[in-house]
Amino acid sequence: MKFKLLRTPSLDLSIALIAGILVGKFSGFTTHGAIILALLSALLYTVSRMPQKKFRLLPALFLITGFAITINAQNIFNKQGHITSFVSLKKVWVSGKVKTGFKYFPGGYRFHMEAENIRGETIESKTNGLIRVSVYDGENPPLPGDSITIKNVRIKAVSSFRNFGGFDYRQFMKDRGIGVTINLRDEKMMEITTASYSANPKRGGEILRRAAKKFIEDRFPPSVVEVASAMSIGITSGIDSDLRRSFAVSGLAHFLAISGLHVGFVTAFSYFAFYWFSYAISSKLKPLWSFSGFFRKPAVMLALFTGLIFVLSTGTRVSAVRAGIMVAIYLLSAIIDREKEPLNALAISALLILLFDPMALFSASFQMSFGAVLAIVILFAQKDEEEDELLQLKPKGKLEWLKLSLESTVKISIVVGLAVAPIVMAHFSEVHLGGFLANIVAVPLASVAVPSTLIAASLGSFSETAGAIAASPAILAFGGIKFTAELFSKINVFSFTGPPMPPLLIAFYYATLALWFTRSQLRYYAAILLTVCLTLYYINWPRDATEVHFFDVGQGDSALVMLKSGENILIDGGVALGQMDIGSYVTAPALNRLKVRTIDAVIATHDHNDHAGGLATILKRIKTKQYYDNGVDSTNRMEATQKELRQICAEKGIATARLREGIEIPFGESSIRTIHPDEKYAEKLGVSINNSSLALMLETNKVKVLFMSDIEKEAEKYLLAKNTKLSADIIKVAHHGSRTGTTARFLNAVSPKVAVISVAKVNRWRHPSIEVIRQLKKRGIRIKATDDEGEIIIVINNGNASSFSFVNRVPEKINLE
Amino acid sequence: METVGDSISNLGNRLLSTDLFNLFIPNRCPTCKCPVDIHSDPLCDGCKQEIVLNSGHSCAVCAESIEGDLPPEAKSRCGRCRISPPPFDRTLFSLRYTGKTRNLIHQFKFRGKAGLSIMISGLISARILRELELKKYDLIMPIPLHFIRLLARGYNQSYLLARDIARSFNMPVNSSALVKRLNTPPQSSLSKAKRLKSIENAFTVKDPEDIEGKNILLIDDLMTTGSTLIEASKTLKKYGAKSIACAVAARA
Repeated sequence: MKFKLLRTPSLDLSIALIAGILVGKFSGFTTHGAIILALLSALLYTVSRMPQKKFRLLPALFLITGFAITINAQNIFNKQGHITSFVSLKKVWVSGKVKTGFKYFPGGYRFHMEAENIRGETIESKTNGLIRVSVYDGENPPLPGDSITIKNVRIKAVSSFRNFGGFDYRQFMKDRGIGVTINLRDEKMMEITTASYSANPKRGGEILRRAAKKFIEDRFPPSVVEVASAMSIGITSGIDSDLRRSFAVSGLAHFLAISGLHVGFVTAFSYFAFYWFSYAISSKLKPLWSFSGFFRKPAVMLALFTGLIFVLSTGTRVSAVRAGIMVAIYLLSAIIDREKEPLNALAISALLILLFDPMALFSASFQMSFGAVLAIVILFAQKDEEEDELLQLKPKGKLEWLKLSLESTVKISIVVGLAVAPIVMAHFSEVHLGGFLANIVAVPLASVAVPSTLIAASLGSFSETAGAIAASPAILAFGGIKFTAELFSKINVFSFTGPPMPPLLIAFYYATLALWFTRSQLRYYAAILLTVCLTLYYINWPRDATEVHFFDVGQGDSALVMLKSGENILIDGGVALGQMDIGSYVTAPALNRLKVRTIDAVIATHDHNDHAGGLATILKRIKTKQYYDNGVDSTNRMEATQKELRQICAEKGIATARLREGIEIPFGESSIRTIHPDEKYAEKLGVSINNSSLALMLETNKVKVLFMSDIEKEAEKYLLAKNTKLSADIIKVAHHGSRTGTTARFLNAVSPKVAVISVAKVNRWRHPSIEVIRQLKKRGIRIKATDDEGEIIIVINNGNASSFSFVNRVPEKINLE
Repeated sequence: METVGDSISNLGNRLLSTDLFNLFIPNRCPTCKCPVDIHSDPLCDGCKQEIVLNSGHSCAVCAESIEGDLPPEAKSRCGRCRISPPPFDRTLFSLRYTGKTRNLIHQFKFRGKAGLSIMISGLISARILRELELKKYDLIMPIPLHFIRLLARGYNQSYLLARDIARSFNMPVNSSALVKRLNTPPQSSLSKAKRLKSIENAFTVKDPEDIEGKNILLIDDLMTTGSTLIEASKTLKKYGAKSIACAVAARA
């Protein structure tokens, strides 16, 4: 069998452009970058296969263009007067123009603005650069093109949590040209100085989007509003983490981001509608137009126009723009009698997107979107080849089309899932390949739901009844999609977690896929070998040391103990408040990367959100054997989590228990002993939640690690008075280094060698206190804090301990004598 | 005088023929997909060589190919046409339906390459010019498509051929008198025996006065057993057509 994929100049050019972007990103504007660039240009010029001689230089030109625009995009922050040079300034007035990037969440919204002027107590200057503005209380967002002034605010740098292999939010935002954020508690702090009435397509798109949002909120039942908003206008913030999780696990996550599927349904639907319409008109008025096929041209134009409006009114995501460009090229080639070449269309959309935004290449959405479509294109190139012989000549049974469409849905789901698996693994530390089951049901439903929502929204502005009638199939279909996601998320045999594949394994993985596509005879051997390699890479090997990970969770605590004997203990899980769930953004992915698939004990030290909050996600996602807490529930509604945690345990069948002083949890030769609080202390009147925190002593391999949670002076005194054995080698300093605890007497009793502080750089309480730091330094205790060093790892083996961190990667021996 | 529509379409055509446009949206040979220059023929040189032109003996009436010599009294008609002559007098064709030609017709008919009609109709016109006394014919008619099939395909390939042939001979074309009223299964999907039966009474004539007493040149893209052309001619004759000749692009 011949393998047929048509090679086009645009494909060569997009590869050249990508090469240029990669050189720009990884070598930068350096001597060796220039040398690589020169060599590559010479190579491209020699192997250039452009159809005409005059275009021979074009690939090299695209290479250099890619390099130049990448250098430019990276240097944008170094421009004179860039907004990032005003970071940490307080009480400033910033004015500028509203761009796009609108996100809507309950009660507020978020958008990007291009800063123009900045004024403060001491400065007044021109500025430039993008700012992400979040408004937490407001219902009248500005529109793209508006000029706004933000009053009396603080400019914050974008920061990220620094954990090994973790998501780098700072870089992610930097790639979008955003280095600073401004948070507004109230909309009144922002003033729209001049509303722009210029013809800005993005402005029009945003207006339509808001109208559709309002229509959906008013007309759809509350149970499907979030799914409908996500799938038809790209507003995903209403989707809670459980539902998002259901979509992810069932393999339907692609539904929640406007992509080729949605754009495809909308343009296909409008094309067929306009096609019929145009045929009906021309067969009455000008029959010759219907015979000659001329009637297709207006239909294509109208469908493309609909597609354009759809892409604009869903927030112009990369995947939607890609799909829009592809559909446009595909349909236009059809009406001008050119070959319909999906690969060419894909290459051109990559070219256009990357020329405008070269850094998009490094985003998960670009990689997944293009990876998925490339896989589909290759799959169908093969199918075309098979069908060429038969070419509609074979008689088809009545249900043949149904069988064929189901078959192709399953095939596409499997092929796309496999093709993007390494990308997904690299970005999210987990893949869910079960999509081929859920997609069979959900794809046909979506094909009804998305177009009919848009029709309903447009009809609804003329007549309420018509809108309501048109909305009813959409409501049913969205309900069905939600149900499907929840139903299929119960099947988790196709879900895998783990660290990203190493480059060599990725290369082998794609080589094997290529062998399958080309039906090479080697494919079975390659597949078996790949399965063996993947299994060897992803199974848990016996550990050669105990590791204690103190994750960088910002303001909060989360520590993972990975015992040499194989058990895993998670002590606290970071904060979870509203949209910010450390459990799902930091802790769970970190556990996935460390191949922690079963946790033997999850311990919530006390009922404060910065400790127990993130554990909810962990208990839901990761198999847990036993859950412990201190049984003292907070009465503050913002803080209380333990009750919810115990409820999750009851649903999941996880055993729960209350820890008290003296209880020792054994793990082979290691153990975790609770040293505080005892029954008597817990019943004392007026004890704070912090003071009744669990204090835990880990003893492993002759090394002792003391986890002090948020314990304060009073409890420390109580412990000292009881003569508790407190001596330890390593201490997790109480309460993020707060001055409320870690007294001199207490430190003398513990006499640790290393003190770990889990704290955020910028926090309301100004942790850690200077006094605590002074006390630690006075005693020659090595201080390791997550705000300076990121994730901190203590390795314990044969009575020795060493430490390293995200910032200081060279292991440092801890002197235990 | 140039209308606005014309100037727009001229502008479009000029854009389509620029080198830069063709760099990104390549113009390809429909049969082998190799890139071809927009200003030359649609087929590449290699494929042009492989297109099988009509040669050798064939029946003058139904164009069935004939092995060996016929007796002079047969007037180069095949045995079947001598015993039961079809309702048309002559069949002209320009290509033999094998190899690359098959692929070419498929691209033209099923794969949306409507633009091929200029080249294919040119081949038919050349054949007509050589073998037919055109003066005798009043009207050119394409085989119609049922409207559902027309919607599915987007155009009627026979109409495109008829239009372009009529244009080159400056003759009138009538594409609405003959109508397909039944949506019969595609002839290509049926066995030879079933074809004539399936298409029976599928055609009708809408405006009999347009064809009454006329000598008609009937155009189709492909003739395999001839059942479609036979049925269409039968219908036309029933409504008063005087004589009918067929011209097809390819003959199996």
